Amino acid sequence: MSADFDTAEFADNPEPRCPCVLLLDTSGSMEGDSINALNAGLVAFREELGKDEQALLRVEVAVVTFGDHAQVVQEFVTAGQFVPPTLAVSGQTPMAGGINLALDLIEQRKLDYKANGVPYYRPWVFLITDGEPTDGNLWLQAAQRVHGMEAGNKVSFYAVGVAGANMGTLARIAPPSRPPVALDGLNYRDMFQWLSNSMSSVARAEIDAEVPLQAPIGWTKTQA
Amino acid sequence: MSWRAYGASVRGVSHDRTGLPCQDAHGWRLLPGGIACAVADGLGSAPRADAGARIAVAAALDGLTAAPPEDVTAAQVALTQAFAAAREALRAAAADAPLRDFATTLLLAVAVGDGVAVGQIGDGAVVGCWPDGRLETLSLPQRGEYANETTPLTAHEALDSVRVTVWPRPIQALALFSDGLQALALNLASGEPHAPFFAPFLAALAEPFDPDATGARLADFLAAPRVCARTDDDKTLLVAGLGPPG
Repeated sequence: MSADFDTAEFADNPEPRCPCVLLLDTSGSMEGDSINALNAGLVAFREELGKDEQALLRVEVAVVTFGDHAQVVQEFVTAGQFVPPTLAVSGQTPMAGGINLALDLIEQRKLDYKANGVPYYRPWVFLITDGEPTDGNLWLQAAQRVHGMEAGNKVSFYAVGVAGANMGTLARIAPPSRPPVALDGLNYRDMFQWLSNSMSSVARAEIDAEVPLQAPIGWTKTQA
Repeated sequence: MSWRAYGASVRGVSHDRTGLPCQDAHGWRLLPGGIACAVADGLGSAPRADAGARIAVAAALDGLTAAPPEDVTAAQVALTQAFAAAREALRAAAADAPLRDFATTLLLAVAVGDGVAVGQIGDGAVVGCWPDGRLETLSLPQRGEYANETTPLTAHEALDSVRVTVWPRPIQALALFSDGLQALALNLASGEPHAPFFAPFLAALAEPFDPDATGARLADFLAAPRVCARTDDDKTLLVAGLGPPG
């Protein structure tokens, strides 16, 4: 009798995870069209992720905002469980606090993955701001932490400036290898579509493959 | 008693999408009183990974057959040399092209009368079956922090990263597999083999044994929707074992 290979039972292992922190400016200056467009963009982000079954299982989303204060609005959840929050604006721009909170979340999440034997991809932090840090000089230290973690292959940090953002400061916060980009108007929708596609590519990446990303075109302003 | 083996490498469904060929390769050679097995997984990011995997397997097996080790101590030395030979063959094949174009992982196992030696660079794994039927992971995936990182044989000073392990006890059977099957065949948290995965493949070594027919059935299994639903990568399984006396 030849053995029937269809009787082979498979081990039950967790899906590899692809964590992404959305780090969002909710300061007073985002009021009106900008926060409305950002909120609509978050909904579009969830819809895009929903088109990819693998992304729904593998991409994990967390949301940190900074306005009145830096806070975790959404702890990490898989994309399938992500309910886009409707963000309100107020206060100033404690960006350093937000950056540190986002990086703390990532470090803690990695510990959780390791403790549970969950394979994971390099985490992303996606910062969107229309201003500049108002929490004193704390951003200098936060920027150092970003640069250290980026150079150490610990995180991929992306910075997007909306109209009014201090792109000079943002360029000092973003890793030197990945300068900030300027959002074209309020085109959050296309930006989040790109982010969703990028996360889908990462989540689908062969275990041993580098991930080719589309250039962020269509939603960025051409830099002079 | 003599060794016997069968195996298959099947293209992953993600390669249907990207148009890449199957970049896994495998092979085995009978040795006097033993067997040498090889599995290689060409890196998806390397343009000639498929050739790299084939060349690495062939060169390593050539080296192990040219001067077959008679005991496990000799096998340990032979394995280390086989990795060097495989890397050298990749360098020769690359000629003026970048060596990384041929990036591949490599798993080698040599079973002889008094034990088994296993060597690995990159991911994939080797599971052994002892004479009492107990399964043990003999070599675990080597990987970096992230799921999509591994060290190929073509990496700078890769030979320093090769891990060779020796078990000075006779082994009954071996299963080598590429990372496409890791999540199905291993408990990833503990590294332990998932025994119900291996049972039918080990049973297939029993009489009557036809390596080609069994390999073809294995290829069908690896290409089946049930497997593809769990892994979209290339996948290779190579199973070797001692046949009954006679």
